[in-house]
Amino acid sequence: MSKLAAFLGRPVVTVPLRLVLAAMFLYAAPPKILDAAGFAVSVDNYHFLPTPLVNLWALFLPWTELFVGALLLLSLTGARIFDRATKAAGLLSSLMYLSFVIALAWALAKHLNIDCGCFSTKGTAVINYWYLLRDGSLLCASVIVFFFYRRLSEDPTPATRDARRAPPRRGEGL
Amino acid sequence: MTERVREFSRTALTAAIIVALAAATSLAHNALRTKQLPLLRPSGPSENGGGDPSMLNLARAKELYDQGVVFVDARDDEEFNEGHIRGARHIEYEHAERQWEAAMRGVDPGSPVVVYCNGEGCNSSQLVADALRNVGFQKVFVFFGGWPAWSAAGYPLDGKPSAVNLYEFKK
Repeated sequence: MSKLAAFLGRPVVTVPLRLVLAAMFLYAAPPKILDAAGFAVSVDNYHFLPTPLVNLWALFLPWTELFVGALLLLSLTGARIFDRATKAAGLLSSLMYLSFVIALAWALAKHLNIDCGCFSTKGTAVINYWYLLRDGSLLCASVIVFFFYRRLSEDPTPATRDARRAPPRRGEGL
Repeated sequence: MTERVREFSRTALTAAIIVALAAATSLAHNALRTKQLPLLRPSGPSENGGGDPSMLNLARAKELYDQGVVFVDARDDEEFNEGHIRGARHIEYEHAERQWEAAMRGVDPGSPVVVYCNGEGCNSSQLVADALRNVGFQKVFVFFGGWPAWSAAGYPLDGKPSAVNLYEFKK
């Protein structure tokens, strides 16, 4: 398990995942921010949230996506200041994708032929099982980013990590 | 273990701050819009019992049609010209603010109105319905199945029937 955790924490895994998630959020948010009324209709079509809360969700979600996308992108600078925020972005990304997966599964189970509302508000992308698979995969990516986040400057390979933890040998250091 | 819980709490607190900032930004942005979205979404009029009351199924839409209720087509010009529900008026979603007055001339704002578009996958009927509610129409319904369902059922229409039958509809 620790080997798997070490592997999932390596930049070769986490950097592409952070990039993909950031790209998804930064691509998805602007159309929904600009056409909040259209997005509210897409959300309402799921019949998942109580109607009075639909507009609040349609206003808050795209901005949260934008903030999370920006933080995931900024985390690639490796700056220490983004450590906590990046972990939080991973947590929020996981929660958002969890909500998307549940809403999609609900709508598909009810055989609703509705617009996804994922990347556009024009009503041209009718939901199907492919969307569920895509969002399920992005949920897994978000969970990995949240649980196994390390700053890029940290080397997570087991050998160097053990060396770092080992007490200094006699004669070394001051 | 305690350290892990503490670590998670700090991350959750940071996440809450990000959400609060996003919420504040979204509210500020909405306040600056020329056409603000109301924070609480109003429910439509209740006429057909359970579910979302402003949504009509095919049978209920036909019933209202037979009673002479005004139907509004929210699709674009090309689609409307190709075929539409017989007698339907036309308001394109993107030009709703400009077109509603001419399209709804002679219609009492207190009388029911049914809006439809290209079936369940399209949003324009609901957007036009919202626009009509905003200008004072009090009983605006959305026919969810829209043009494909009406056309597939063989109900009265002008022009050609729906070329693409996207979904299976039940009467």
